[in-house]
Amino acid sequence: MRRLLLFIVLLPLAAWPIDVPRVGYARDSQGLVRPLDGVSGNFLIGDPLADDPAVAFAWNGTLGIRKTDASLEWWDSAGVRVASVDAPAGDVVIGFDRAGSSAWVFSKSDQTLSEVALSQWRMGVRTVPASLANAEEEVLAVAGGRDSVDVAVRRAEGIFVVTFDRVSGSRISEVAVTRGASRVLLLGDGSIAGIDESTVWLRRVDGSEWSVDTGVALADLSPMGRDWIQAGTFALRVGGASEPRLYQIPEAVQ
Amino acid sequence: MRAAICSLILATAAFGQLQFYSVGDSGNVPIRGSYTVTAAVGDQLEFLLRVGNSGTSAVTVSRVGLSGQGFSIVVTPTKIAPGRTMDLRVTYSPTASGSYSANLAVYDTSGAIAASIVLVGSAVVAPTISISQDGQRQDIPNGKAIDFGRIRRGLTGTITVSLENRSTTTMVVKSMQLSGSGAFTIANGPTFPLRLDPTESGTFDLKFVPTQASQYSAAIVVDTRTIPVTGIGFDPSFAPVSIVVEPALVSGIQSPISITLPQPAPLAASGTLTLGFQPSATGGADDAAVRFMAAGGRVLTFSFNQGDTTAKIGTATSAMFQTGTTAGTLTFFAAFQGTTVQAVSKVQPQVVQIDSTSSSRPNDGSLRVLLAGYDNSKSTTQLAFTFYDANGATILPGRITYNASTDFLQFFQHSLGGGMFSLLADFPVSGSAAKVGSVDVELTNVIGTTKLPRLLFACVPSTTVTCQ
Repeated sequence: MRRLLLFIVLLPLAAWPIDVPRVGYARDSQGLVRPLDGVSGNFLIGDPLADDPAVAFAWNGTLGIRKTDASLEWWDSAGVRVASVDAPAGDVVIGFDRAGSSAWVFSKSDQTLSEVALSQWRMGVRTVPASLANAEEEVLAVAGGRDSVDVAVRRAEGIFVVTFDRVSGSRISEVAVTRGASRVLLLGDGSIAGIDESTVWLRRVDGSEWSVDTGVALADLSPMGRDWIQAGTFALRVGGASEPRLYQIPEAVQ
Repeated sequence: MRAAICSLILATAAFGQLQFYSVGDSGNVPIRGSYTVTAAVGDQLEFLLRVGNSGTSAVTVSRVGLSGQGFSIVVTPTKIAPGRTMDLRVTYSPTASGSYSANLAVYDTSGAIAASIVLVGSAVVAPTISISQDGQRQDIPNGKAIDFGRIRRGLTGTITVSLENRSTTTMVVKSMQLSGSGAFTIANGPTFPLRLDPTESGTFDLKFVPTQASQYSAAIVVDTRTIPVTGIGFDPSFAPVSIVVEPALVSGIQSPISITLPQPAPLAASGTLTLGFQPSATGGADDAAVRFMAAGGRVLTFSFNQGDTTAKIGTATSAMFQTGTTAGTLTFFAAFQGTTVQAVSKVQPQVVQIDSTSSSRPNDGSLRVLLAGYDNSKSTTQLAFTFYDANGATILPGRITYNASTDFLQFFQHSLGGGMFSLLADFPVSGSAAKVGSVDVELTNVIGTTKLPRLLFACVPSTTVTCQ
């Protein structure tokens, strides 16, 4: 057997941190963002990160964007708010760059799409000159690629994923989703998740689809961690080779 | 007076020793000569008289004599000790309006009258009151109550009451009023004054709807006659509830629980479901993840609507709970209608379970393996890693083992998360980490060893590495 001249040096375990695993961050029914620790099907919901409710929140496993009535905030992987900028009141659509280092925010109030990045502990917000969401379009989701930005929009004839040039904002292409949804997410691996009344569905890049009826109306859909999506009061695990799995998120104990 | 019959009074040794009394709220009242009662024609009035022995010797009553019209009595001869009494229940049943009288006497063993009085009865024209219930008709004599018996709370009992003229002349019932508990109501009643020719009757429905499990009373006043009305409201007893839950569970899952009744709930009622957890290990720490998903944590309320056999928990017919990541016993207590039932689910110790992994090269000088999972026995003892190159050949020094007992023990002792853990293992590499292709990971606890599927490090092409 040929052996590589390569040695693995084992460090003492004291240098290997053992902790309670963190699934991500979930937004509760009051809009408070809370850490969600645990493993699949066994969660611990923690105290809220902040006392004021979030209008929107998304977490990709390493960074979180929280939108309040007055600000847009950047949270790090430890659950610490490291930067914020003033922002007009109103709902936003939050997505992430597929490289995972920046976020994309579409403001429903002023119909602008911005890339949000952290530099020198300051949030930089760059507005993309894309023509988005005319009177007949509703922006549902956004995700950034290396050279382009994907935006899911709803029109009278259905939901489409429109691809824009990342710099110029010009439209490059668009693809029909051909699936009904009140909310959708454009995931990092190119798959699309959506909620349609009480049903959660996931369409993979290869076109295969998975769905489950939760039995309760779902109002919100957002990324909540690496491989995890929050759909209303449920946590959907979408990563890995196995089928997606849906779990209930425990309510904070009153 | 239709009849007035007097008997000879024979002086005896007992005469003067016995005395008739009427019985009222204020006690025994001596009767001097006669006792008068009034009843409606067609009614039966039963009243109580008492014979007391005021002497110093016992008197044996050999018989009780009643002669006259309208009155009747049934009595058993007895001995009346000094200072004691004997009760007589007399019935007055006038069949026509007018006056009645009878002589009531008690005789001693010699056949002599020991005491006597005259009973005088007057009869007024009034309707005869009768009730119809469950197809049975029954007269309600004066002094008797209309009794609904036991009626389940919330249900309605109905008795049809009839005012009937059984006399030979026309009568007019001036008024009728119901007083007392509001649980009783009158429906479909006639208009008063009510004229009733002979054999005619007026009817109404008397209803009883108890709102509590208690006794109720009221009275119907028909002209000068008062008819007591009684009823009892009750809550039916529930059969004990059953807790429907898996008796054997595993850690790290969300499982349903429901509460059922063997028969439909007779009325709406609610109870409390409590979850208790006892770790298998003596003195083991609690596991905060063992809980219901709802905000109550380890306490839920459940309720049955009338007719339900499965309880509502919130808006659903079941609730989800987490089994946690600590081996032990989950005990569910359902407190309902004063009774508590329990169900037990056991969670047995398992080998270490890994929920998620990631393997990466933070830089060319190191490798990183992230494991997240749980050890519900909290007894992880050994970790083992075996690294392979891109061709699957083992990289020196081969299988690397580490005794992790102390590290995990210390972590679990202070963790509120049961047996959950995440381990971030960094390995410095002597040489290029880019040449490492994969790693096998083993974790051992007291139950056994868990071997993970081989974890791959993404191939990074370089001058020395060619990716296939």
